[in-house]
Amino acid sequence: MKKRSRLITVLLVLTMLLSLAACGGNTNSGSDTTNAGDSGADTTTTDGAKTTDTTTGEPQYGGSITAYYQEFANNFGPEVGDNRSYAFWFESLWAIDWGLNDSETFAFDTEYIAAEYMAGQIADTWEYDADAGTLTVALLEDVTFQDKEPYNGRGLVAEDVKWSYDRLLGIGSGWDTPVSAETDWPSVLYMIESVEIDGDYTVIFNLKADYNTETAINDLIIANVNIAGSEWDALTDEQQSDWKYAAGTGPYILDDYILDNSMHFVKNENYYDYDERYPENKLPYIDEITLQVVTESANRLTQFISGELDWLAWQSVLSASEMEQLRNSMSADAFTEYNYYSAASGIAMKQTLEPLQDINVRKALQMAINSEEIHREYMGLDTDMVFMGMFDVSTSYSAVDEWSDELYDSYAVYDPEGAKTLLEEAGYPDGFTLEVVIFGGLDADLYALAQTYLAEIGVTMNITIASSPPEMNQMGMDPDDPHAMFNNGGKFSLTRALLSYAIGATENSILHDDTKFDEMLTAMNTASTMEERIELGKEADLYFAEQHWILSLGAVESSTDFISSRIQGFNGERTVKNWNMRTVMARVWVNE
Amino acid sequence: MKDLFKKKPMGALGLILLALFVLVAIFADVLAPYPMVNGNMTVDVIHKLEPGSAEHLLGTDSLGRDVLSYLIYGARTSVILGICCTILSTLISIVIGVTSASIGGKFDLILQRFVDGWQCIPGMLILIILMNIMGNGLVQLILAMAIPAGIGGSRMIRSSAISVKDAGYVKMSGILAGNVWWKMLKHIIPNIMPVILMGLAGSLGGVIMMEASMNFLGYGVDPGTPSWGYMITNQGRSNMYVAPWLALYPGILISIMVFASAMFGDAVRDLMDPRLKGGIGSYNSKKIAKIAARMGKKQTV
Repeated sequence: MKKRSRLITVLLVLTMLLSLAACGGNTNSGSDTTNAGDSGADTTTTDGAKTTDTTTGEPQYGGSITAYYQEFANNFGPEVGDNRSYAFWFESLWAIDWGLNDSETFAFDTEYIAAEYMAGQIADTWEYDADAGTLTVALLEDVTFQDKEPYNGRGLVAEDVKWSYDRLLGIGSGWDTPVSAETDWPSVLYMIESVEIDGDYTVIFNLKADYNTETAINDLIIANVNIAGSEWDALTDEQQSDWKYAAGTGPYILDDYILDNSMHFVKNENYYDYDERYPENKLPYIDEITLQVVTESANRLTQFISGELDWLAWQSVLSASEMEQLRNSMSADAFTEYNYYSAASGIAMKQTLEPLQDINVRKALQMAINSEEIHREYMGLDTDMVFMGMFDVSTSYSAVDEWSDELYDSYAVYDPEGAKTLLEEAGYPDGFTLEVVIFGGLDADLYALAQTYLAEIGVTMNITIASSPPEMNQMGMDPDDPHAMFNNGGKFSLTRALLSYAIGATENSILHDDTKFDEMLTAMNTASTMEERIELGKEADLYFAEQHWILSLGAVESSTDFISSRIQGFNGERTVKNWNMRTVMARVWVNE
Repeated sequence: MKDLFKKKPMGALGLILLALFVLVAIFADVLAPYPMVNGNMTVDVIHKLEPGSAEHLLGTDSLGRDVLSYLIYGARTSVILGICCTILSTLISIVIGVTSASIGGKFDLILQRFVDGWQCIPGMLILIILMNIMGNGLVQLILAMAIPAGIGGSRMIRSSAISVKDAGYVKMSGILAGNVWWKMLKHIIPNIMPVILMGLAGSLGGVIMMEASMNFLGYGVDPGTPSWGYMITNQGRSNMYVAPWLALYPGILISIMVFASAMFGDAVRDLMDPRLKGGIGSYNSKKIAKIAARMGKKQTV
């Protein structure tokens, strides 16, 4: 027995040693970000990002896909708006014009939206009357609700649209106050005075006198209001919390829901819409869609490689090294990747924390971050370093082209000695401790890297990993909590900027009290023309960057979505926190 | 100690290995090829995810940190965690078990019902709840692991304490006007020390494993603090296709530490359990054969 056990032990050790010897030698560190261009699809470049149209062959009906999703809000009400893009059962009056299949016209690498890129969804035609201060919308007459409670397949009418808007603003249909504080609809729909109907298929939006402007119309059209019916109000609280009552006019019906795990959708056989590219084809193509929550990036990587996940999107789904591993592990024609700019990860310089109130301290922290090393070595990017202010560089509001050399250098140049001098002048010769909270989906290694940079100038950064974004937000947005939180700037719309950076805003993690900046945002919001708004936006964007309210960890990143080559008909349009996920999903097909 | 080395060589090996880990933890700054600077590991992003080489014997991780140095400093976290957690949980077990046994009566009844209720809840669930309340960090991890382990381990201590409490010499100590606390400290605890030591030695491995599990679930130390568990769950999993050594090396070390702890714990149990002393179970097969041969000769005579 002893001899046998010795022999087994020796064999086990030998096996382990052989495995160790087989390890390594296959790394590909520091490689450039590449695009899988061998799928036979066309590739175009727009502002440094790449898009690929995967339309190869004719659309096919049937099949199923599984897409990664970050988290569900467990809320099925129509008031849950633009940041709940999993609600495939809803639709809005307008959606992004899928017919704009041209990256020169519409920058598909961005979620920046303007009304000129929108097409009617439930809305058939619309007319703005500046004299009367109204927007009159004629609805499609063949739209029906899903054959599911509480609507049971009835036709949609103008009363439903009125109810949907009234409820959000508390201006009628039995609602005196807005239905929800969770999503700040009065800020988004600030321009609406009242909503009237004229017959079964005409809706009239009466604008407030101060907002009878072109910019207000733009904002009204791009607001992603889910349209539902008053039957929803008749449901009990328990029914409203039950996925079995989640219904709308959308292309997919919610068929199953496992709390914080997955959503399963089946095709709405009575859906009314047709494919703009193939006008004879009724939508949607795919039979079933599963949205799967996968909290660990390592699991996302493995599941995509093994084919369990077909769709990896929604921003920073994989770390830089994981993306490399994916490219090395799969054949180039097994997937298509869509690269686009996204704001670098960063830390909100919470203004309720004393050291961060001094701009010299904020500048010092930025100087201590080796942005070049992060950009080139850690991320493996060879593009020019670009930094974002409040707005994404792809928007018209971004003032990044107007940055002075001094401002640019304050973000780009790595100068720990200079940083120490600034800290000393600010009264922190021995540094200080900075508590930071991030959530598990972020790249913890990047923050660990930042930790080492800041340690060089005497700033001790302690990182707490929250179990979820809401937990992180709770800590980071609490003025009494000592944690600064993740923030990455680069907003795509005025609405998002207002929600994130206005004083008292629901998503403000910087917690500043800068009234001058707040006035800039208000001026932007009340601008009467888009040209004026763009000019004011650039001013605000520049000011924001100058304040160093976000500690940027590296330059603008090349974020990447990975889509399995099984999926066809996708034109590279961004779906991250997008308002058009349901539009996209209705128009792609599976090529088995 | 002499018995340990003479009669339980595997246990002795376990002790030596544990001592080695402790020494590595203490002298990490001296032993690590790339010592910490300003409390952080030296990063070299240019050389990230490289396999073993002359400069980096065990390769580098995704931030270019030397894996060997990381593992050496990681021993510090594991040792601190293991020792502190084990000692704290043992203390909690002693306090609950011995007081419950010594005081007895309604106090014992109520306290044991609390322990019963606690043991009905899955251990991992308790850990997660505690970590959510206390937040992440080494101290929080120690407390979160020690408290449930201590409460659960109090049962064994209590049983041993009861058996000692009923011994005649303990009862007689009452004549000397010894109150219950005096009895606990002077008689009960010293006499159940073998049981305490057995528990102490045997639980270290479990603590190390638990730390790795907690890191896997996202509860654990700061990402900048070297930790074997964190290396497996963060670096190892994310880079398993290109740098599998990042999971393999810390995994091997954890296995060795658990093995050493288990061997040492078994040895302590065997040596200190009076039921195993002198009886046939304390002998190995050679000795048994000798005794049998001697007995056979006597019979023939």
